[in-house]
Amino acid sequence: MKLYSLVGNEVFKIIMKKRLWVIVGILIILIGLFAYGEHYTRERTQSQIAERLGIDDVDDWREITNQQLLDLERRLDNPFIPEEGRASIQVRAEQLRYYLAEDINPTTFSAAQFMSNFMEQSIFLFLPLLIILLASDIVSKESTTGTIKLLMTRPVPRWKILTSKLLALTILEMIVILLMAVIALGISYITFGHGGFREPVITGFRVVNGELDASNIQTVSRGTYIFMTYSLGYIVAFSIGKMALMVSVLVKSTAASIGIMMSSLIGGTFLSFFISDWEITRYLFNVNLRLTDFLSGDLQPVEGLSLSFSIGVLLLWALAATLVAFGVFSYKDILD
Amino acid sequence: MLKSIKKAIWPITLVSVIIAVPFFIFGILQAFQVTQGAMQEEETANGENRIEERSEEIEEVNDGGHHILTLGDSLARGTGDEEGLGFAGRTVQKLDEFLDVPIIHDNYAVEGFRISEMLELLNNNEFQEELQHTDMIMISIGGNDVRSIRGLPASEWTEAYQNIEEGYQEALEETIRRIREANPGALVVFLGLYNLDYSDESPEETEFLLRWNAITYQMIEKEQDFVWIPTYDLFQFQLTESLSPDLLHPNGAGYEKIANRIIEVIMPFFTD
Amino acid sequence: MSELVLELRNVHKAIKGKKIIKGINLELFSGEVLGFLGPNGSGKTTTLRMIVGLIRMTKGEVFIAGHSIEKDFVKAMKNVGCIIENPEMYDYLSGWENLKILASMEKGITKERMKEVVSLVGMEKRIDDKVYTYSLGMKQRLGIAQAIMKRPKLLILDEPANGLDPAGISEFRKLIQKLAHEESMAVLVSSHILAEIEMMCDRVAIIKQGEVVQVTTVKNIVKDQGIIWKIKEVQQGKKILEEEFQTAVQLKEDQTLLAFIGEDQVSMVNKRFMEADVGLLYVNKNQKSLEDLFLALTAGDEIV
Repeated sequence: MKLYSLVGNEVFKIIMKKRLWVIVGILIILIGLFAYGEHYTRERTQSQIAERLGIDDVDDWREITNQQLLDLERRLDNPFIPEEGRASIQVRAEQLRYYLAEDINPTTFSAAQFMSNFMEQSIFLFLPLLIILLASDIVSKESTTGTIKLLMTRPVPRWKILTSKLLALTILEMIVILLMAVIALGISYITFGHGGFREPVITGFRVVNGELDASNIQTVSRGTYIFMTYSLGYIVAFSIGKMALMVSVLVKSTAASIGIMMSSLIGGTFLSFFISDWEITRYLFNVNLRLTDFLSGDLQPVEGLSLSFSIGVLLLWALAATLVAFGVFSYKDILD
Repeated sequence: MLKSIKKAIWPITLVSVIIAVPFFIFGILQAFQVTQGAMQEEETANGENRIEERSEEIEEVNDGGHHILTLGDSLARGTGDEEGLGFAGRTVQKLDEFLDVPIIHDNYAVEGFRISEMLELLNNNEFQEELQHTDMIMISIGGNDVRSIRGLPASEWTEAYQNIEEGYQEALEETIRRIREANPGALVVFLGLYNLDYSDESPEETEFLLRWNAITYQMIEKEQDFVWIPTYDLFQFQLTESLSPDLLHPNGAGYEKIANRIIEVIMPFFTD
Repeated sequence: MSELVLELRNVHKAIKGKKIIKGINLELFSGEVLGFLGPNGSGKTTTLRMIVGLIRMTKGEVFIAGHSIEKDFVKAMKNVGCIIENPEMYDYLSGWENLKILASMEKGITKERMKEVVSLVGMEKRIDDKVYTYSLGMKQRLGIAQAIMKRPKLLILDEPANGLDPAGISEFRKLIQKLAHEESMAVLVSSHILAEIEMMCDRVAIIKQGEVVQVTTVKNIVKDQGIIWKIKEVQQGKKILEEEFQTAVQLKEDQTLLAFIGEDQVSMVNKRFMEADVGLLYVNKNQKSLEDLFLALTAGDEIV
């Protein structure tokens, strides 16, 4: 019961600190720019395609899509097409059928597509940066301003204080993901006009012996796909947040705390490119951030990763960071 | 007013997170399911069943009728045809009009296929069985091979073309051998290549194409019951009218012309 | 009647091998105000921090209302209200929000009690403003409010008069004495304004280089207060004081004599000076008595 109000205090403090609003501001600006950029490039490629195909109206897309679908369906009759080929034909046909049934031009962009694209593009850098911004001052700012003394001279054990901060952070990480979803949805709906949440998305790729195995591919609705990408985003937010919390406990200044987290985030990613064939690289948190790539089938920079392995590594980092944070926080002297 | 908003911060935050949690759990479970899905075995079983069903069907029809196979690339597949038939489908249709016996047509063409990929299919043991029961095989291949030089800088074209041509010749010999091994009596119809640009804007490409057709012609016509069908002239003076919007594949009219020419050539083989 | 609220037993602290606190023993009873005095770096703040558990001691024990601060932190801290160093608050929140957050971490602090302490420190008008708009004095008042709102048995105030104006200081002094004497809180005050300690405290503990040099009552200090004589014949006057009144005499730089002597004896000394005709110009009570006491008590250490 007491922990409940402690967590409430921490959430209240973080929200009143306006850092969350800075994050909302960044999200609105960035998503706006991203949406405008996507819209612009889509329009250009569309007109290029139209020019190349000699068609001048988007209505012609039905003809072409119909044609493609017909081809795919006939190809499925061929029993000698290898299994992975068959699976990919099936899912592609499913997509085309959806476009025709819903009267959606496949060369245009939907709000739902934008939402999932946005998370796929943010999960390894932008999202961690937002979380670092949110989490880095959670303890260090109290050290800098001295309010940590207020907290630590209450009849509340130190572990409980840190637990309340940890839980508040865990809750706000989810709020950040929700904000991303809501803002992305709002802006993309304004920009692209149609939802497209039932569009079938190809997924189900696996990496087998370093090669992309498409024999298992299937489609899920774009809506489900969004749930998957944003949930995986939360796992990244969760573990990055715990690491930032640890640094925030270890370092007194918020600026140093943000700096350390940012440089390890970016530095680790560079490192993973240079020593990608070294076994240990797999255990860096950086190379395991692109969780959504397992859904979309983009190959990882480091071989031998799987979704469960990457999530496991991220959670291990989070656990280790939490343990260090608790150890240091419970025993450190508040000297100034 | 402001105070009550502030008071609501924590409850609202908590409630929205509690509502969101099931969705996140759903998303993560879905992600696991999708990346480690267990639908592979089922799929494979389906595929095998299809092959068995098909071969039973073929044997049934084979006694009194004709079995026709189509192999090769997207042209054989019929890409670009508004009716989806392609030259192969249209040829079979026309043949069906003239003949009284049932015809079964299997189209095993795959878009983007090069000759090496087709050869792989031919080497498949099950496919060899399929070949044995065939009366006619229509093939369109090589277009994707020769066009692959387009991605290279023009200075490397001559050398690249020579390499491709060498490989093609070997593969074509092997293809002929494979077909004849499995089925010495079937009629084999082999399609020539047409040009995508009959102006003299890229004389080099035109030269390669003509050379390619010549070599293919020579190798095909050497064989008994192999026939090479030229398409180069069919498109020469009516290219735009005969191509589909992708400006690569023929449209229905283009395929119709090819089919007409094939019918003209092969009719005696069936009516004899 | 009065109970033992705070007890320090042989408290030591070493940071990176350097001994900062070398065995402090201290007792504080309810209803009592203890002044904690020491120059910068003497270990004054470190000691206060160890009492409230911000710093762990390397040796020794601290008991608050009978509970060990190390073994029973929560029970011990239930009895403590404190301001350590500056009255830091969340400056992006209002004063009231600060109090609410801190109150929610304790048991049994009602809204009425919070309002009561706000008016007690005279912050009613500004309590809903953001803390960053406060002056240092207002922050200090808010700090005192949060420290006393749970009616602690032990109140620890580090430099509490900082930033208060003279009227505020006098109000504050009355408040502290009221809390101590009416609500029988034990109050531990550290301050560098010696006059404040003198007026506010019942006892004074003087700390130097990590050790308590002396614990004494303010009455005693006032009794032992030094008297200054300005006379022409300095050496003769000194001799009279030393020989006839058996007291230590300091000859100060401004050619005055300083002696610690009971007030009852001052007139006798004056009479004697008149008789000896040493040229007495004026007699004065030493205004900085605590400081002088302090210097007298600690100056010797440097020689030894």
